[in-house]
Amino acid sequence: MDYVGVDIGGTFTDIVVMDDKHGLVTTKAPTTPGELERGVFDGLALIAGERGISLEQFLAGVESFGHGTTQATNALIERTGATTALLTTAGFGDTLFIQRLMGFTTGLANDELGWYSRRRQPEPIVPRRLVREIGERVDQAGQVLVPLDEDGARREIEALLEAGVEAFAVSLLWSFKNPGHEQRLRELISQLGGDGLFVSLSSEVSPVIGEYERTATTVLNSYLGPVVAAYLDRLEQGLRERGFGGQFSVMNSIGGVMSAGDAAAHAVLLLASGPSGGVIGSRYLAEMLGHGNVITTDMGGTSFDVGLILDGRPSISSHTQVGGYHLSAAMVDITAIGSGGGSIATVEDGMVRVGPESAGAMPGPVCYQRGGTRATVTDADLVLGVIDPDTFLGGRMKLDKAAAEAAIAEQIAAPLGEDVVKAAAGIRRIVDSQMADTLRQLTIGRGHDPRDFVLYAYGGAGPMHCAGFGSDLGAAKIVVPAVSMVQSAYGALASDIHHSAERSHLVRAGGGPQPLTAGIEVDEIEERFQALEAECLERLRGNGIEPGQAELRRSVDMRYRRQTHELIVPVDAGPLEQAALEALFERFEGMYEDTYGKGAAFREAGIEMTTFRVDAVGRRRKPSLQATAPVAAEGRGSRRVYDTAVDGYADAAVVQWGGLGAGAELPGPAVVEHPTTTVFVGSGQVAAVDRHGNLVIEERSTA
Amino acid sequence: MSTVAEPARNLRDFDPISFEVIRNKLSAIAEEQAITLKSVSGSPVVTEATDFNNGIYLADGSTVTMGPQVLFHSGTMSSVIENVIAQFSENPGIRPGDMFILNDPYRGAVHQPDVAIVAPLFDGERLIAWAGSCAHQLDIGGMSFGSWAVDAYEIQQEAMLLPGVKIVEAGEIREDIWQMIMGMTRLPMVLGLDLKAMIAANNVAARRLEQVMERYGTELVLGVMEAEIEASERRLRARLRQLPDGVFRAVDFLEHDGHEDLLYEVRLAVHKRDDELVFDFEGSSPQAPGFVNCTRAGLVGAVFTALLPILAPDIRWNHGILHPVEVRAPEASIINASWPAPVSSGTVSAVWVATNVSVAALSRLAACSTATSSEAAAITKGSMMVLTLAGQDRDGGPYGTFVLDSTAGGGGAYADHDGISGSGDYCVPRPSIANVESNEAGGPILYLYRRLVPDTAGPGRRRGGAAVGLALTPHDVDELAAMLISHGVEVPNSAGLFGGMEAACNDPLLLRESEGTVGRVLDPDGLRAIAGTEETGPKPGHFRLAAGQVFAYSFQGGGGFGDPLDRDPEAVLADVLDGLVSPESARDHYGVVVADGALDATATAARRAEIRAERLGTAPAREVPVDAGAEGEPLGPYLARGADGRLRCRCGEDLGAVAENWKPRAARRLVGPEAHGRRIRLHPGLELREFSCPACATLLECEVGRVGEPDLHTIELEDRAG
Repeated sequence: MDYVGVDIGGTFTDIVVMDDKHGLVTTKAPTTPGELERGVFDGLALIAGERGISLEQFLAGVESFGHGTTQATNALIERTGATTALLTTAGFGDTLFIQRLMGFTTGLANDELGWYSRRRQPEPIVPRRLVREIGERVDQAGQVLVPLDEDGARREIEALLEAGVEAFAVSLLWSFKNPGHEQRLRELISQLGGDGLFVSLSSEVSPVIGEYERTATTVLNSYLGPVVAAYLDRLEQGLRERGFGGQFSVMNSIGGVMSAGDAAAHAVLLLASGPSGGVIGSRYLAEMLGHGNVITTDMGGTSFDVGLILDGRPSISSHTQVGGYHLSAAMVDITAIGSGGGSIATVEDGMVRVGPESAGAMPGPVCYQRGGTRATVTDADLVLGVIDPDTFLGGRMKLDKAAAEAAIAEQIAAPLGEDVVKAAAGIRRIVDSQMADTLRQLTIGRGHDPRDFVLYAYGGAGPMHCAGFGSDLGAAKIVVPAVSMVQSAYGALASDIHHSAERSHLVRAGGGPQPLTAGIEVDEIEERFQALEAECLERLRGNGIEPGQAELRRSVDMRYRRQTHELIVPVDAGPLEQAALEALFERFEGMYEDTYGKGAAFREAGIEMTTFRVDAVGRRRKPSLQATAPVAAEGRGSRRVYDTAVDGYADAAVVQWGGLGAGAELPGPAVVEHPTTTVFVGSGQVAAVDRHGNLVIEERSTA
Repeated sequence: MSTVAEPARNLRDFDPISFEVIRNKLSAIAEEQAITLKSVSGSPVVTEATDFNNGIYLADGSTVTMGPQVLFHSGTMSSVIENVIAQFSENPGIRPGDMFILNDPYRGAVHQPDVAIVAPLFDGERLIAWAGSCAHQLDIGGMSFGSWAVDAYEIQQEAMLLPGVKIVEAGEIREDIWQMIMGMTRLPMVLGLDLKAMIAANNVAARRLEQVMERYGTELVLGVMEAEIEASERRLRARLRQLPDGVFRAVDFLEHDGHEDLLYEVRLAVHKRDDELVFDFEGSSPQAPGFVNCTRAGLVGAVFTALLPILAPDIRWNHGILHPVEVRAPEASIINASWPAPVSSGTVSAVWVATNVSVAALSRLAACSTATSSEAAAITKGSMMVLTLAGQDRDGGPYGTFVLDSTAGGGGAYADHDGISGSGDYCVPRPSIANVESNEAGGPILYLYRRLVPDTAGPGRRRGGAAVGLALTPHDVDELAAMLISHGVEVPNSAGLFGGMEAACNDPLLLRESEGTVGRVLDPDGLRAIAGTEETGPKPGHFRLAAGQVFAYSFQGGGGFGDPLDRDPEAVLADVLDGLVSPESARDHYGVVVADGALDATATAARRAEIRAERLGTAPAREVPVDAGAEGEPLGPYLARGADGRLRCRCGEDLGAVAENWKPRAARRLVGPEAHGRRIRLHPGLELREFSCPACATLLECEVGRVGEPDLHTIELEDRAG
């Protein structure tokens, strides 16, 4: 039986197919904008063709189809979601526009923050005119202070329906404490507008404290829901019509897959579907390779996406920024920085800068010959021989080396009074060093030492640069996965069914000389977790997974009183008793000191539990990555490559990845080529092929 | 004993690539410092309002890198270090592993709550650099909670004063000093956490800098630090040379000194010649008997705060930017107070107003060259309202907070776009406020509303940003002790630029007797409509807020840019439909008539003609298209210097020689505050003036001045021969 993973990116649709007989097959088909499913069928037909069978015959043998999609992200960026209205508590209708004052600095790097004249707020998802304030008020204890003004609500809903609203979001203050008013408003919307209307309640989409983020999350869910539902329907129907009878699932942003129905109802959870697929693919790989701590890096043309795996679990963030908005949905923690192959290099006043401006995929680097005129990182890679103009992307894309040289000579070398090679090497050194600096900040910011991590490098440009930034960072080891070119699709294939449920509830404990857990009713906490577990199991059952097959993980957000930053603390499987509760508090203090340094703990302030969470995983059967049979190294050649580590040209061995068998070792400088990527191994490093076909790069002294 | 590193390295000793790589590493260190500080600190002032700063400094205290946090601190860490070097090098000595704590505004701090800790870094015995952090503290003692000493007459009453005490010695916190400091604050837990956070941040910087120096060599890294400073200086000087020489002036006011509702003024003339700037504050008011003054450190912070985003948004922020700048201020004045004048609210008073005039004067300069005109801006929220609440929490424990929502004013408008609604303060590059739910969970309060308030934005061709307003009432407790200090209640500090109008004033309201306000009071106008609602004035100081009583305030919006009659009527309509501008304001200030949610084009044309005639007292002789510009070298959007050295309006009207004040040739009239906005108030000592082109009636400038005082010559370009 075959397992299929698909990830639709901006340029390519990546497909990975695995089964016990054929091992792992990957392919890339051009993405077909406007009709995304066509690219998927094209790619699958290609694979079927290679096996000498029809698409229908192939699909009939597919047991599971996992899908990562940027559909939700695209709809948000292009503002093509449903016409959405927001109902909110009277007095607070501007929450989504005030954005806690954070809207105009979202996504800006530190050195862009001071350019005040360039600040802009994001284009609204819901125009102010479609936000209606409803008379009602609940307080922090969940007590109703002002009853719901049903007549007023009816009038507003009718007016909105008349204005052509397609979807509703309802987000009231403190609704996660008392969802009654939100639920009643949904009834009124159904009564007046029919059951077909898409309605999201903040108390269901994101029942956590913080009205701005909760509202943004709820509004986005309604804005994206109808679009995502229509798309997934088309794709699933298309597959079924062509003979597919297996399980259809969609990659979400928390690192699992959901059914198409769940995905449509929780569309906001698809916003990081693509990048989180890469992290989840890495997580699965890390489990096989026995790597506990991993930094995942996905360096493409325009961005550099970084994720962390800690003790085998992807790092999850409870706050995410997307499209200028801040969400409270827990998602795989991915930080995107604007460094990529397309980053533009400039000289100003005798100083070189690389990025944050990017030529992107269009017009792209000068050497792509698509109209780009400004020197980029990829142009420097080409000038230095790291990539070969004739074999780039398996020879499918010819690069113009002379044009790249001319651009760097004129724009960088001349103003510096350097030769073109030194200038190109400079661009490479700067971008590698910047990426290393960012990785260091990300790990240190979470209380970890980057040297305790294995670095996974994937994406089009990642494997060309990981030798440089990995070594600058001091990572223990670098892995370029065998599926590096389709890492996200692999994640969609490999991941398990995942649901999570969370609820904010403030519990205060200790303080002053009291014991740490003073004031906590342990039974009440246990009940909270049990309720969340029941919710998750219910949803898993909907995916055909029985409680016995489910793995439940509890966690709670904790902080010292008065602090605003919480730590997500894992809680041992229940039932929770006093001793376990005390152990939990000790674990929090330990994590806190690990994160912020010895002596930073501040128990006199007391400790607060703020959000309770359960993650439920339904394991799916997966084929394991095949060890590739050793093949004699063929196509071995060499070319002159400038290695910034030694500041000079070296003769680098050039080999085809496909020609390397397990156990093969390759001392740097070397270039490993593949139809979809190029891996550079620096002088002083050595690359080895492991039994799964991955390239493992280490510093030679420690190899 | 320490020796200071030798300066003057040959800049060409290292290649530009190494320079860039090391420079980036230094910025990364400052960022790691900030991450550490924010993580360990428990204070919302640090984590939400980012009222802190940190960086790396040369051995003499010159700033090498600084974080993009509150800009007031940008110049002052250097003065803190200079003071420590000057005072304590001999006794108790500056040695490896030491750190010094300082909050004395007469020795380099901005005001007492901004506590700084600086750490000398050594290469063997040689002092090579400093790391430093500072953060605004919720309470550092003194006569009132929050250390905003509204009743003080001298600095000794205000707060603890730390002159640069060695708090860490050879790597260990000195327990005697620690306990002394903790004994003087009302919130030892919060202060303790923040001091530890600063110490940890400095340790991170020291460790990382050491690693970078190990890898690249101490001399190379020090060389890059100096070259980095020189590069910024070079770039700022190059930019200044692009701008015309001349004098650029601004004035702004501050009401109430804590004791009496007197009017103080801050006057600034920026002299720009070749590649240098002189900020001359001559003519500013003498120092006040109350806590609104600032010292020289705060004044330099104000100048820096304005200069960085306007003239150096793309230049690395470090000490090099200070080199072409000279700051002159009269002694014992409100912006350069003499000891022992009280200064505890200096940041939100004199420093704030000094920033306003610096932004206004520099925007006038920037608008005189196409190279920088896109950076010229009207004033962003020209004031700060400080509200503290204290009392018992729901669980009986102590409660005390500084309500930071008051940073949510409006942004000043630019030539090509509207100001940001809910922009945060000019001095904060990455602002944020907490959620209503977080604040209600954090203490016994309930919000009745928190929203954008209509008609708070300064009208203009580009509108300013609208401000936020909110109302609070105690919840689940009998009462809270409140304290409010502010200015800008009777002074429209958010001035417009080039005919753009002032934004709303701060509007603090108190309702003492009422039932059932929850769910009923949904905006400031609704609250005002309830009998018994009173205006508190700028500095009511301490008051009691009992259960059922309501305190509400809204903040200054952003000033407008350009004549509001130039604004696209469609844009005004959109603002009306979005609730940012009332139909009345659209009609009175923009001359746009909106009826039943639609534009009335005929009525709009008639209304605009009527307003133009009112400006001149007669119908204008010339008509110009609203998007017309003037020919020649620009002085903002409407006036230009012709080749003949004459100043002309966009309609062609000659307004005199370029070095002369054009205002006597303009149509001048005094108007009431409501002519610019229904939420504008004027202190009895102030008047509002309009200057329009006598031919086409374009509104060229709005000016707030003391009653009867001469009109300000805002842009005085040098008359170039030929």
